[in-house]
Amino acid sequence: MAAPSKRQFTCRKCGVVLPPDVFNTPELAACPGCQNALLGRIYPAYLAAPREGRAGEIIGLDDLSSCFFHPDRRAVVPCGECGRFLCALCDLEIGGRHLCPTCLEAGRKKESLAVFHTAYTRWDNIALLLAVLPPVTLVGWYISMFTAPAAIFISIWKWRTTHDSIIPYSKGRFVVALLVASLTLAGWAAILLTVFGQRFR
Amino acid sequence: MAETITAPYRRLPGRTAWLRFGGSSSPACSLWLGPDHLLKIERSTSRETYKRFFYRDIQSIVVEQSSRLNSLAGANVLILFLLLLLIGILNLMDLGGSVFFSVLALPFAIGIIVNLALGSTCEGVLVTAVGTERLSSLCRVKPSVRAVQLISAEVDKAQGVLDFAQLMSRWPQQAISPRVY
Repeated sequence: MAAPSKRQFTCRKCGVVLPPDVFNTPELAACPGCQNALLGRIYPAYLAAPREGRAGEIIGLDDLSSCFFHPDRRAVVPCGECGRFLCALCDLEIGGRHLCPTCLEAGRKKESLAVFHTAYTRWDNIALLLAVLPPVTLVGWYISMFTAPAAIFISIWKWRTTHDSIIPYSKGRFVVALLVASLTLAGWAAILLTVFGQRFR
Repeated sequence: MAETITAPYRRLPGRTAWLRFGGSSSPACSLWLGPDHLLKIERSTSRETYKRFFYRDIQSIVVEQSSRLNSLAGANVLILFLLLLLIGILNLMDLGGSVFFSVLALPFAIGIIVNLALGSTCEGVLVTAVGTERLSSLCRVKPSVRAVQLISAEVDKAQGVLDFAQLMSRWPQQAISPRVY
């Protein structure tokens, strides 16, 4: 059987098309064109034929179960969430689980499926920047009167969000932000007390 | 719906370079080995985004040595040379000035040493059927080789091992465009 046509690999440096003998070698190989060192790994998926789409099989007279969405198709697997029977066409395999289109859409909206969790806001970094940056800059120190309370608010409000990330973070940045912001506010309170204390004395 | 967010991940060696020159606009990233996929986390100050590459879909990983080490070292050496020249001239006239420029030159000297200690630079890409992904954390050869070995072990578990003889016999005779990169 003829090997399927594939994309080609070229050297980034000299543009030479890389031959197969530079891949899957135990050590670094060299580009035949420019001798630049490279490490290439080719996996069976590169050589495999493209996967064909599946269509549900027409249900026979002796079959007991049909697809919930396509009553004329044979069910092959139940949905991992709602348990509805699914044909090969409706079976969506995500992260090792078989889901129906409805549950998949619900999972996407709620971000309750790990594969749909695609972004995370680093509130701990934001709080830390708000707490630390204005006091240490010559230009922005006076706005620390406003950024310090904001840092304290964010640290308390988003305290639990460090576990929402796929890679859980420690609460260290929140703690530092709280400490620095508290000290900044204490400093401001001391300044204001001194200024106004003298004025009203 | 059941809570399925938490998955065990193991961080792979490699860090995105602090200094990235023209054309390299990709954000800082880190790579993590998951149970059935490779996770790429791209980070900015306030946000991180996740990209998943399932082991069964990965076609290839290529790490190529780059000339960034030379560029970095060259820039460092040039600045250091100019500063040393300045110190040499000032040394004859003013002690304070030469001390000031010596302190200024120190980070560049340290930069050269650290850069050389970290070893050769490289660029890594991951290829799937639908595209090519630049892996900016694979920017030094030593940790990149270790990372590729760890990824390969997982991909081999998912896809099976493709040995050298199989690769040679099954290599497509007519590789067509578009190029991978």
